[in-house]
Amino acid sequence: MKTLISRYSLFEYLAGRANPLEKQLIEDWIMQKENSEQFHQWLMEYEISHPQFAPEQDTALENLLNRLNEDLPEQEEKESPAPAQLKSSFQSFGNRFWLIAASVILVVGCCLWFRDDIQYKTYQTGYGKTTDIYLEDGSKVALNSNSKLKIPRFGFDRALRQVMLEGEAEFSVSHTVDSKKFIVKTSDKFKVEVLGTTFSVYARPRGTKVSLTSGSVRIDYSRDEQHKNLMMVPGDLVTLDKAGEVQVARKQDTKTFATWKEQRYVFNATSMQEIAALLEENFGQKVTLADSAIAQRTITGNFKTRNAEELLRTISEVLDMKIERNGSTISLMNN
Amino acid sequence: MHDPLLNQELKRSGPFVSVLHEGKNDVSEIDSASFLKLTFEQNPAKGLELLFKRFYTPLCSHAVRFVYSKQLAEDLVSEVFFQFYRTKAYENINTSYTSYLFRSVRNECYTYMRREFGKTDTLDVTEENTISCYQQLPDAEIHYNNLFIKVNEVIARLPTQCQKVFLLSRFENKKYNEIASELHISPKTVEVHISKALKHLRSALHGEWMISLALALLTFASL
Repeated sequence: MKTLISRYSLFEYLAGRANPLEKQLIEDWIMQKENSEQFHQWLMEYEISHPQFAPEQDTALENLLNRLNEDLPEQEEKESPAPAQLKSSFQSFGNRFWLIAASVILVVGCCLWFRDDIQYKTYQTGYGKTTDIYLEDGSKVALNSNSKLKIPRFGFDRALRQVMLEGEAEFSVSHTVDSKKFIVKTSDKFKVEVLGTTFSVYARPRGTKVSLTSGSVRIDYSRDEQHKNLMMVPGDLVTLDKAGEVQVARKQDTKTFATWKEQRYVFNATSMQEIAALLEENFGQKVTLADSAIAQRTITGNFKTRNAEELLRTISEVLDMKIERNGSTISLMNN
Repeated sequence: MHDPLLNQELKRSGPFVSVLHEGKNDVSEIDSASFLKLTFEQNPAKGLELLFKRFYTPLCSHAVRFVYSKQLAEDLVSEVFFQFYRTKAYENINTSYTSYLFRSVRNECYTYMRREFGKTDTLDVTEENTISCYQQLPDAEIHYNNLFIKVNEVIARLPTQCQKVFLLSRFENKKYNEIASELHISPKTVEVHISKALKHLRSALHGEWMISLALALLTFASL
């Protein structure tokens, strides 16, 4: 008896036609190390006699050679001086260790780098766009243009509801059964704490303002390394200027503070200087005023607008001024 | 159950037979192998070309039984040649070229299939890529055989239309809307057929991935 395994029976097995007994025999035969050469040899013959498709051999070879040509110069550069050194000092640890260490560092690095993206969900509005955001606790945030709101992805619903704001937004905070605090942080030094109420926060480079429509909020701020707080009642407007000075103005018409939600601007003896700053904040439109006299002029009224130019045109008509467009900036001057 | 006596006899006759076989049909094989070896020593690029011309088609034919895609099969096989040349593996191979290449291609296909159809985390895929062909469990070959036989069975058992769509998409590498217009069905239906076929494959191959774990353990142990 020569052998039970013939090329034919292997072929049948490879075609999936072997019965369980034959299969067992063949698998036992393959398991033996000394048969592996024979097995691969027959496998090759099987594939030659039962081809599945005809690949484009010449194109493939060409691609391979191109790839090797591109790869080789780089590799030589990389491999020339360094590896000898690396190998001798790291060999005792094994390359695998360094591979793992490197990947851990990479992952940690990525986590640190994208820490904010992982921790917070960020809503951002462009110039001239406003948006409404509904939070998972039922609160609603109307975000003004050119503003950013960051909400923690994890644990927003736990002890505190805390969000970060850059820009301007109106919050309608819903009261929770367990009276969880809602905190709006605008910087490390300034935050607004509430239970359930409607208020708007303005936090831009020009300063920070909080106005309260209903309910009550507490402002926490630190000044000269001291923590201070103050309670607001509806109608209050709290301003934090660049110098860190906090001022409270009572009995303000707080409705006018968040009219931007309806693309409406309410001015009450508002100076042109302020309007110019506002246009730059909300629409990214740079406005220059010809002289200080113009900057001092004020305007009162209710303007509905979708873009900076529309608003400026109306204002210039009312104040009888001339608009001059100069590249990306708009200048206002007396007629 | 099979006869233990039979098995023993087989074991005894195994080495003898293989020697005999080698003696018989490997005159040309040894000749060309030593010729290839010589070429690799003198001009590796030429050696690669010869090797490629001789093995590329049968290797692709084998790879396609696993992955069922012409494109993928060719890519995987090319990758094996690429690594073979780049790492200068031809300088220290201790098996025949046939054995080395088939083993590498089967490894590569297995890794690919596991990544595509296994649910294991992607982290130890890289782990497995680094496993060289030399430290292989003896039954790896059998797993590989079972894998492609099973893939073939699953695809053969698919309903006709489903099979047709699957082959057009995967084997011929056609786009969904191309298939849709060719078979006069809606692209949505094409999608349904494809996902059905993939679901069949996934569930049928479910048990095939354990071996990689063993392989990974083996490499760790050998560190």
